Amino acid sequence: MAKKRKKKNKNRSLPSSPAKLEQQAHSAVKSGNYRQAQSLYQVLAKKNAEKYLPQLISVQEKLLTQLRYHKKWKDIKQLVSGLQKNDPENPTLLATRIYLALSQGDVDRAAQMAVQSINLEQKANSTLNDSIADALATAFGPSQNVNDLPQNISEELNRIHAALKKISCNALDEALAQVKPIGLRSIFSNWKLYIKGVCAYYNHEDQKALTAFGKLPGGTVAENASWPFRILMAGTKALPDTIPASQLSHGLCLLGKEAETAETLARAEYLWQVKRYRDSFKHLHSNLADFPTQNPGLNHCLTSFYYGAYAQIPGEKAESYLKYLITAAMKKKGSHAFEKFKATQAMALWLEKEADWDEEIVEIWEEAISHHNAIGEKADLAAAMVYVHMGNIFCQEEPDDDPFGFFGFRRREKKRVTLHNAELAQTCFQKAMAADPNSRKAYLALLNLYEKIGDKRKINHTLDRIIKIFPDEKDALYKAGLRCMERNALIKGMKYLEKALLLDPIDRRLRTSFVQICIKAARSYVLKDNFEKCIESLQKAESKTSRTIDDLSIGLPYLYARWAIMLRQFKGKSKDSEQMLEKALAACRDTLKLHYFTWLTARFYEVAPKAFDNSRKAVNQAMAAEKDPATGAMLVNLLRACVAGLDKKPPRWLANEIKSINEYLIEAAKPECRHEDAQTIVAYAMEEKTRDMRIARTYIRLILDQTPDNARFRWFQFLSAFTMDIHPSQLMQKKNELKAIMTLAEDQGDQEIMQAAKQTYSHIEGTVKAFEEFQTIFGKWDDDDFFDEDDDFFDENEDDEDDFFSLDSAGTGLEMEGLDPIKPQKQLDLFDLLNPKLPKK
Amino acid sequence: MNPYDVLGIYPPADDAAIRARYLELVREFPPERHPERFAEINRAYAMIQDDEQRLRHTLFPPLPEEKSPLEVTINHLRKKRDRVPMSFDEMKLYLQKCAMD
Repeated sequence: MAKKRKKKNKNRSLPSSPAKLEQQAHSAVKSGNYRQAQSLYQVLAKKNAEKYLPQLISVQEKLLTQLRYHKKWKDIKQLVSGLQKNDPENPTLLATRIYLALSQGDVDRAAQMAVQSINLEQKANSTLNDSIADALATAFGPSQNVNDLPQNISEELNRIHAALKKISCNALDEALAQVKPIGLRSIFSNWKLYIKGVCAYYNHEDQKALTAFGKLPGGTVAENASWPFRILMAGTKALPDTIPASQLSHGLCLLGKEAETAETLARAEYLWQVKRYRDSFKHLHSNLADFPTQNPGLNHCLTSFYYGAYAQIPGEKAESYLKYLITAAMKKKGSHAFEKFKATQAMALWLEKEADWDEEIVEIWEEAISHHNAIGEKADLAAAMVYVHMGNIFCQEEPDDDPFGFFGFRRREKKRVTLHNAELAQTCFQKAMAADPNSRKAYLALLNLYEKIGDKRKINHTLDRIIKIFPDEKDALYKAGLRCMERNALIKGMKYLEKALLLDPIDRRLRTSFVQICIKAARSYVLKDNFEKCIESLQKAESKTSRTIDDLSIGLPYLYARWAIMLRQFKGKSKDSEQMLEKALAACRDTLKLHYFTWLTARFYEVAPKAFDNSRKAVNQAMAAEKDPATGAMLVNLLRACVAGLDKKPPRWLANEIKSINEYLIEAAKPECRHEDAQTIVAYAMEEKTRDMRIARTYIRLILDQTPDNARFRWFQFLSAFTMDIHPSQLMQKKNELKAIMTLAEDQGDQEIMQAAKQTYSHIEGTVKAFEEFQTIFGKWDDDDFFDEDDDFFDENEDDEDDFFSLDSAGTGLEMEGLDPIKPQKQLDLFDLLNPKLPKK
Repeated sequence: MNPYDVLGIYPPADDAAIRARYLELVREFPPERHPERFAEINRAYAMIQDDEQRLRHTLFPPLPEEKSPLEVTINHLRKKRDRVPMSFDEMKLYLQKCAMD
């Protein structure tokens, strides 16, 4: 029916006037629509054969070429019979008939037609010549037809075949010598190019080979035969869209000496492409003797592919695919441990990513391990590795999906880490240690788990075990040292850190901790009035400091400054103290910074303020001189370091100090302020303990006046505004602001800002969604719904109303952390030792 | 990526053999001239350089980068370093198959 309708429509659409028909046929030819042109010329030829037949033949020739290019052999057959009637000796027709025979695998008939075409000695074109050469070159067997060939063609054909024979014997130079006499005008010139390309390929001259192959005309056998070579040299990118790679699988396998896989692969590839994944596997499984296999080679690569392909198969299909792999493995008679291992392993790996069935994951992995043990050595090691792997999965932190966390409702709560399945993780790590008592990774993973859940007793116990079994475990020694420092077991901690430093003397983290613990010990000896021990501790610290590093812990001048302060606390050591401070000043690069550091530290060590009056005077002098942001940034950096470890309100003297520095910063705000100084100052001004939004806004404006599109300062501006005017209804506007910041940050390559803005954006999105749901259930809100004075969410003692949307509130994503390039260094000795305990012996 | 294929060395090769092969390849494909290949060789070596890594690779193999069996075949064949010509019979078969396509 459909066919009839189509015919009817076609007739209706044909214009009746020959002029119109001719015009339409002409434009169809122009646009490459030869099928339509053919229909039109057929009508015209019926009316005036003399005038329109040549044009019809020409269009049919073009259509033939087009169809052959697309390998539509059925259509070609129909067209050939039509053209045969009109022009039986048409060269394109003859060429097509030859190719048609070749496509049917009838090499002899193709060769016979080729010989006949040569002997016709009539109008030949390049397509006909190419087809003759292709037919003769691929007809290798002894043929009577060849005897009828003109001598020159017969000679050249023999040369082509001889060259191909030479190639197969790896006599590449001889092969090239054979084809050398074949000229450019010869019908075999394409084959000469092909042979040159093949020889270059086997000689590893890829560029040369690709150039030769690139000259081959499209649609010829030589060109077809060149593609597998080209893919192996240049990859599938080299392949034009018209040739699907799957069509070449057979050729590729033959070329790559994988003939036995060729047929099977073609079908398996087809099944894979039509998403019949199980059937594709099944096809290889039942047709290849060595599949799946762990023996090296193509089949091993295919094995790895099929057992890892679950990741690219969508959801349920992946599950049924994996179940099939397991069934196929279990059905097999005999052990087939490798196949069973691969199938269960694939299922376990898939379950880890897709499912939440922890116990099932353990069960399947244990099964996989049992199969692995049957094929591989090192069973204990493998079991330990798998248990550690599972444990690490189970002790992953669960994402915090509390949308209201954004508003800081939970800010007073200590952020607790929720682990996926801590209990099972612990079991896995213990099983790993049981399987391989020397599994360092198992012990470290267990330690990591206890650190995450914050179980101090277990952490210490595990650390002791690790250090006992692995005395060279630097990280464990370091952690043990830190834990000792935390609980004031300073001598023990020092020993751990000393051992760690013997393993890696240049590790800055170790050096810093060691210097800190020594200072802490020295400070405690000061309180115990034990001068010798104090100096001994400081000398130990000195050995790990550096003259060149400007660091408050391991920088030598800062250690000397502390030393000077401690000396001042011993009776009769004032002179020594002064000399030590001189030494510190001589060793430092920035005397103002050292003076300020000395003064601040002395205040914290509760030394009489007058003792370091000179240092204070130097600072006062600098502050009284012309104000500049760089000095301001330096001063606030030290102040930030001081308050970083403070968990209560600053003492009065420090509060006054902060106040006076803040006044200085306001006066120092000048347009020539450098970005890095402004950033330090803004970060300081937005911190809770030193907050002064007036300073933050001043410096943000200063930078944005000069560079309005600076992503970092636009982000700071966003943060500073967020504290003042946030309301749920304004969140959309905030989202737009964030979008603009993200775009700018991307343009400026500022990854930190990109990430922070992105995180905040998703928080806002989550919150908006939560509020919308809230509205749906409870109706539209007004402010009172959220900011009720009696709201239990807030601390009764809250004295700062503005703090509702505190910048440091937990889980808001708006924290400054991570955005500040100059993070305050934790000054353990500045704060922790106001009332230190004595070191344990 | 199959690290064994990339390095062209297969089990039961030991640490020394794998390292020797790696160094040979690094010399052949220096980073200045073959940055991609060099990176691939490095990645492959890191995956199988010692017993523990090899076991890890067996237990937790990386997901295949290829999207189909044919892609796997092409990648595998491309990594073959020896190019051995087809026998004359294979060549005939090959060309006649190409004539049919």
